[in-house]
Amino acid sequence: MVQQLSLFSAIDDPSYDLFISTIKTISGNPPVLFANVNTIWNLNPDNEVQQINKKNQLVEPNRIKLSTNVPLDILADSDSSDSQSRAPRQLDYTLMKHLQTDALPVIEGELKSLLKNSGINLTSDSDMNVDSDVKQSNNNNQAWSLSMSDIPAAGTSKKVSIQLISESSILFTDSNASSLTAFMNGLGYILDYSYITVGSKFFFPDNLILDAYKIWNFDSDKSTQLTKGGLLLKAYINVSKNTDIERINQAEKSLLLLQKELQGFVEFSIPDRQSMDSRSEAPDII
Amino acid sequence: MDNNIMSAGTIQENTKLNYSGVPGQALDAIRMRLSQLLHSLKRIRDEFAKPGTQQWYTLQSQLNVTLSQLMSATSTLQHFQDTLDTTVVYPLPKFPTTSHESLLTTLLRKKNIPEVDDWLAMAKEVSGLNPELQNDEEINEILKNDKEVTKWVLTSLVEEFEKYDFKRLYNGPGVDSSTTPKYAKPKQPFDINGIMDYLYKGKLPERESTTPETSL
Amino acid sequence: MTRTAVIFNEKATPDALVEFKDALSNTLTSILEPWSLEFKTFRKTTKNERSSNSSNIMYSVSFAHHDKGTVLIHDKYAIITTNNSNDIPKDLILNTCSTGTTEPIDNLLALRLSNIWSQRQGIRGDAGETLQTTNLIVRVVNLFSSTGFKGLLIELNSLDDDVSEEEFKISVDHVQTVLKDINCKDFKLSTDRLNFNENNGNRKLNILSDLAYQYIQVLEY
Repeated sequence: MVQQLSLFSAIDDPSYDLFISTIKTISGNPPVLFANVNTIWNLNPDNEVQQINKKNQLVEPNRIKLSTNVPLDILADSDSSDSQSRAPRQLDYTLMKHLQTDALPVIEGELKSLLKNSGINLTSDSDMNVDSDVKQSNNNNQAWSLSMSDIPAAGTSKKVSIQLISESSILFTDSNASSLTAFMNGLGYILDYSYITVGSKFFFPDNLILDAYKIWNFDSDKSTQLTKGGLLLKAYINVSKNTDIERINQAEKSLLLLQKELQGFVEFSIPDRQSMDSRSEAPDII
Repeated sequence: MDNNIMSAGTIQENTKLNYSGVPGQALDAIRMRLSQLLHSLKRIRDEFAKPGTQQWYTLQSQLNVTLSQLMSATSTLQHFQDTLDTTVVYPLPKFPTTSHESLLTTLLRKKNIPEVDDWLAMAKEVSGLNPELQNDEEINEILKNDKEVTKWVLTSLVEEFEKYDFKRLYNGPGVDSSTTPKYAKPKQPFDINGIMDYLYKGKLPERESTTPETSL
Repeated sequence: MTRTAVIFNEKATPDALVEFKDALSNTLTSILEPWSLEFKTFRKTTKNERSSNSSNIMYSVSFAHHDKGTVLIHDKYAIITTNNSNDIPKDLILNTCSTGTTEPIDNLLALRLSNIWSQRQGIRGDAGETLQTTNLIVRVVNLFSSTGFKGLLIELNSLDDDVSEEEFKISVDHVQTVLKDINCKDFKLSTDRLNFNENNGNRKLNILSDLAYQYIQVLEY
């Protein structure tokens, strides 16, 4: 289990350049482009799930996140006027300046085939044979990360958000078709929603990472950018031993130092912990 | 030598002593500065003696205090240099020579103690100056250059530092954002809690108003 | 491709392991690292009226050998996870998908999903022996559950990457003969394949899910 300590902020699109040059100077590192696709799974409402397990312990139903990286070569300019060739001008942090619309930042056919190869079909039903034009590969080696997170720790004196995350890395899904979906269904979960994030990442000393990214919600018919007009900023440190108080305190200090350093330019704060709660709130839970 | 600390001629015990020549003000000022400096140096030494490493910022602030005290001690010494150079110390007949012999020898010493000689030699060596090969004028020129470089470094440092002082950034009225976009403070483009609501429970911001809050 | 088989004898005595090893000793070329194994069964505790055709049992097989992987199998679907944080693909970490720390999926199931899946039984084999013959890697271990000794387990891996089905069968038959010679009959053998797809991307991982499937075949049915 990992304790993730984090602080959040946001900037508007016109501030991106100044932000990049500032953080480049402070961190001493160049920005790194990253992209991922996330599928969130919730309990199948057909199942009657209890909050108490056989040993009478409280286990609250929680969503599961499955995420994987999006290969950078299938990224696309979302505000390019020419919808045919949406190849990005440059595959680096400058790409973020061309991703200001609702259009997905990826070549959709490629993304669908990537998901399909892992057995995730967004249209949820029959048309399993979509994109027959997209090159078929037998390679379902796309690795996925399966994670579940607690609601962040409570307490009014908290200076940073502290959230416990359990994670397991899926290296390989073995079956001929639709395996991840079939597996998650077997586990008792169904696909809830999916999103893509693309952004720039900065590495700081002391394992501090600062991500500036945009988020797109997507389903079969339409996609929207949730971060229209700007970018979400997340500064975080993962402490791999969740009982290592000394490391946690050190991580908190590092985050607060960054917060202080950027004060007046970007104000970092803790989001409402209720909004970072991924527990299932389905009404049919007993 | 302007030796007028004591002008009383006799060595009889009841002789009235004249202290008017003692540069009390100078000595007192120096004593105060030196005792402050001594106190700070002791504190730094004690910090290092503690087990474990100290916080860098504690040490740095302590060092800054010490350096400024050293500066003030140096300038005080410089200020009273003439007076001190022309002052000669000698003991009175009443001085308890036996019990305070070491103090007496230290006070009456004319030569530098070996440590001080070492410091002087080291300072001369690191300065790269050689009084035997260079005349006074050349040495003064080099020292002057050195001071100018130091001054330039300090001003540059302050200038660079100001570039990262974001507290001066503002986006107040009267600032035309089209002409000074580089220094505009970023605006908040969206509600961060709304984004979190989506990331953690799939609640789209548009839906927010229509869906009643379900809390556990 | 590498082929595997798993043999389990429920009626063997704890001494059978030593006898088996002695019987093989003439053909051994070397003795390798010890190994261990953990096998867990989970039962679904929720009621689901609609999709009753889905199995209520989930298995996890954790290998301390084979790159510290855990295979989770439900119906005929398997996912292979790693318990070694160094084996998390760098692409996942660099793209913010992974925090860089992984934990065994069976732990996750037992901790976070125990309201759906309750662990039924655990079988462990610790400090097993790894023997190498001219054409096989033979792993033997005595299995125990919380109630005591369960039996003798043998895992066979072909040494050759490119062994044919027939060649492998001869090697497996030889091991069966040895078992019969030491009067260790009544064993279950599985050489089943979970998914017969030779072209499937990563063969090494593919073998792991086959192996896990074979464990389930001999331990559960």
